[in-house]
Amino acid sequence: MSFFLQLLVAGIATGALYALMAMGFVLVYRATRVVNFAIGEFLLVGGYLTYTLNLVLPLPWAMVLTLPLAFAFGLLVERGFVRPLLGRNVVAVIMATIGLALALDGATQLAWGPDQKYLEGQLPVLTLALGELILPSRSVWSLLLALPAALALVYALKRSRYGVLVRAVAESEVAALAMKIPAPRIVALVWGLSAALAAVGGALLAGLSGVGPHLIAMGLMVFPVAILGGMDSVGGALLAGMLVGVAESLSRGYLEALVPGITEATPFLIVLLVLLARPYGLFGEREIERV
Amino acid sequence: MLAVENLKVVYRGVILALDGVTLRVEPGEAVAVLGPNGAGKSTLVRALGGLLANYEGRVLDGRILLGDAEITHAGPLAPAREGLTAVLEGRPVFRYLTVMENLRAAGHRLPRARLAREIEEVLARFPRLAERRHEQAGYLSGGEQQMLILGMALLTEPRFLVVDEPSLGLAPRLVADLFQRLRQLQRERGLALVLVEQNARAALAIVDRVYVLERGRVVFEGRREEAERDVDVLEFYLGEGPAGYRQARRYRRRKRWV
Amino acid sequence: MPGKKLTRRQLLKTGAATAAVLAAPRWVRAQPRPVKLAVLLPLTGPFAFAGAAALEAFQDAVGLVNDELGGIAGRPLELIVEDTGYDVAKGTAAFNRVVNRERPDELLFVYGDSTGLSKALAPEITRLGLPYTATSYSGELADPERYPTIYVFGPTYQDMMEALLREIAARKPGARIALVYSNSEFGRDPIPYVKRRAAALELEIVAEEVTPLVLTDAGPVVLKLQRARADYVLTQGYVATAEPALLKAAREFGFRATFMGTYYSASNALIQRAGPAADGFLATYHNAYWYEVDVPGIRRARAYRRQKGRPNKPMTTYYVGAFFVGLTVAEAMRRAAAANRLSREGVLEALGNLADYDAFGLIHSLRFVRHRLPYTKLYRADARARRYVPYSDWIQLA
Repeated sequence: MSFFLQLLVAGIATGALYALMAMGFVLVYRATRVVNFAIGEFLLVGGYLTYTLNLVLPLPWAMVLTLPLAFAFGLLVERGFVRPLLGRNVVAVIMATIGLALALDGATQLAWGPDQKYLEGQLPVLTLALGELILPSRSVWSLLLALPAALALVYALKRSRYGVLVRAVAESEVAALAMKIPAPRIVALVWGLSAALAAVGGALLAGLSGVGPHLIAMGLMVFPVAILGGMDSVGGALLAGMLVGVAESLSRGYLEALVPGITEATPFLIVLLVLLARPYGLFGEREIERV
Repeated sequence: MLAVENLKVVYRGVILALDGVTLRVEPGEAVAVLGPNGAGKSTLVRALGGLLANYEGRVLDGRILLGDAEITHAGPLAPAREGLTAVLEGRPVFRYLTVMENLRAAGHRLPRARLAREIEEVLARFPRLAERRHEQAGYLSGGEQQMLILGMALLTEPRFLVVDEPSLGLAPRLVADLFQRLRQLQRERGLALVLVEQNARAALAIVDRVYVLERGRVVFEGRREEAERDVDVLEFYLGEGPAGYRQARRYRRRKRWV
Repeated sequence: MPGKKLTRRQLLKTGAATAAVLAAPRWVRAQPRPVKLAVLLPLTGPFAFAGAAALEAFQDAVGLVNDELGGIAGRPLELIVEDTGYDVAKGTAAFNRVVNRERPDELLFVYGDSTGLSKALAPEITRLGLPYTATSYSGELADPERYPTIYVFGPTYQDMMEALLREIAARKPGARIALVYSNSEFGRDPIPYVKRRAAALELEIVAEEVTPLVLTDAGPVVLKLQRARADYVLTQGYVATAEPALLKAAREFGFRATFMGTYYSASNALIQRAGPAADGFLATYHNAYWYEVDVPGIRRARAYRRQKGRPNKPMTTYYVGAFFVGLTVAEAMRRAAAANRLSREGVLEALGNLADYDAFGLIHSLRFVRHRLPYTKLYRADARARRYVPYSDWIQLA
């Protein structure tokens, strides 16, 4: 039993990290219908920014200061790659993100060199022990950062003034513009926010495995999580992240011995099964049929 | 004063939709722009709203003046600053947002307290909306959606309100009611109203002056009385009359379903 | 190309080289033809850090051979560099490009990339009679009957595991062992061997975990190892990409097994990333660390870099490994030239007779046994010193 609980807790913590990375992705998709194939590179840039700040600052401060920088990076991407294609076919923008991914791969290697970087120091240790159950510090931090961020985001989208505007722009840019809603500014904001969320994910991952191109591969986890959650649901991304994290953890604990290597495929198997039953994912918004 | 001078608009660089349109609207005045399908009415609305780019359209020649400012190429948010709001065809409410959220989105520039007051005023004016305030706008009826979009337009505080085919798809009784409300609004608020319509008879009932568009040009311009005297001529231009109107509706429906 | 119109791209490509040739004085052009060493390195992609280090090493080694060792019997050694992106398809294309472009009597050695790429190229390499080695220490490559021209410049992963298993058997007879390896050719390579040998040494394998190359959360893996009550954990197929996460998680869960790994775990990056949790990690390594300045090869590399004004930074194991290969390949070429057989066959013959050479102390011996060098040392991670420190003397594995 304690083995199961321990796996569960570890899964939830990893899932929180997945959720953090996926929420920004989902937000961009929701607001602009753009599938951001450069999301892995967003993690990478976040990781490198944290690393660079960490050269002169303690890690917690480096992570905090990364947020505005990553936000600015998101704005820059929006300005440079997305806005020029505004009003064009969404596919054009998606292709642009693929190009952006390649460009960022090269640019980060040029800027920071090819060797792996690692972060100095660590976040304050917050290991929790509940009887036999141990929650390692890094899991605690994942939960501590991801959960409030996710809940705040869900709440802001639902209730705040900006949230309503984001949803309005998401539904129809031209209708929003006609109502004098500054759609370009909202879209830029969403990209900035997405980059900042990815940066937190990148920084947490970097604390674990260093900064290097492998972070891009980690970014791929965003896709099963987002699809499972329904692509456009931020709350869905949160729950789907948890689900995928827990499934991976349990699969590692119980299935791996029977089928070595199954755990890597687990997220995708779950996505497949869920989509068969619910084509819109777990929380995807259904089309309003009535015209 | 809103002035359109010799406006030419093309879509995708080749399709000429407006071919030198000139018109003027004075503050506080109600003007109808009538015309059959494909005359360029909706293009005119998009141009006034600065929204052509979103439809792959572009002003080729001529200009649009609002007061002293030229807004021809100023983009979608500039006409707003000058106090012009264009309500696009098809009642483009945000269907996944509730009625309240739609109103809040439209009135986002107002200070919080004022927004609350203004929303209450809109809801008082359209009691049906008040009843359904927490429902998603996509589930409202056509008439209710039309009220909602007008309410939203009011929350943007326009001095010039351009409305594209509000009567579309509504029962005649609802159309008469809606137009009376429009008229009332226009009077109370001292708005300049540009009513872009296919339903000439209903529109003529509430406006001061009339323009008729055909194939991207102004083919008739005059006071309402002159137009009414010449309803036959108008009907010729609009391809209308009771039978023609039904035909037009059927055409519309087909277009939307395909 | 004279008389032909150049396209812009061709011009850009050849521009620099052409300019150099035209500008050089006549005696340079009269210089003897070069001898060429081609290196296919992962200069982009997930292992770009290793590829970049290896590139620096080859540049230094080739420079040192030409400047200080007189080249290859008077002929200059020339380095050809291609990027593989750690991708088999891209690497194969790069290999074909080099082999088709270069003359067989000039291109005498190719240094390749991963286990996957090397296995893919092996039949063609054999057909061409081309001397070859790679970053991979796969046991499948050290097979003189199948691949007579391929050499592994170090112990195979099997050899490395053998050294670790012997250490375990000596420390704790009947110990419980867990295997953690990446889901790749690289990870799986020595596993069947380890299972066989563990049984022979009467060690019990109590857990086997296959993971991705990069591990985000090692918690579940460590929990399983802990539940299996493993005394020793052998890792394989990572490049300090999973070991730090494993070590940290083990520390957090109070799991006290000793972790061990092979050559690619011997990078100090592992200790820097794992911090205090790295302490006691045991790795096999057969070259020398940059800070082992009593090794002549390290001193020479340091002095050469200083003399050339190249950045004075601590170099990695990937650098030292490639530097060692560069020197050794040049030595084989020089011996072939001395025997008046400076050809692919001559180089292969010389590789078989290098037993008296030790590449300035960068390896125990170059006496190949079945096309690999079955000697390694064990190094122990010292978290406080943030580096690996020698733990054993040379272990001979065959």
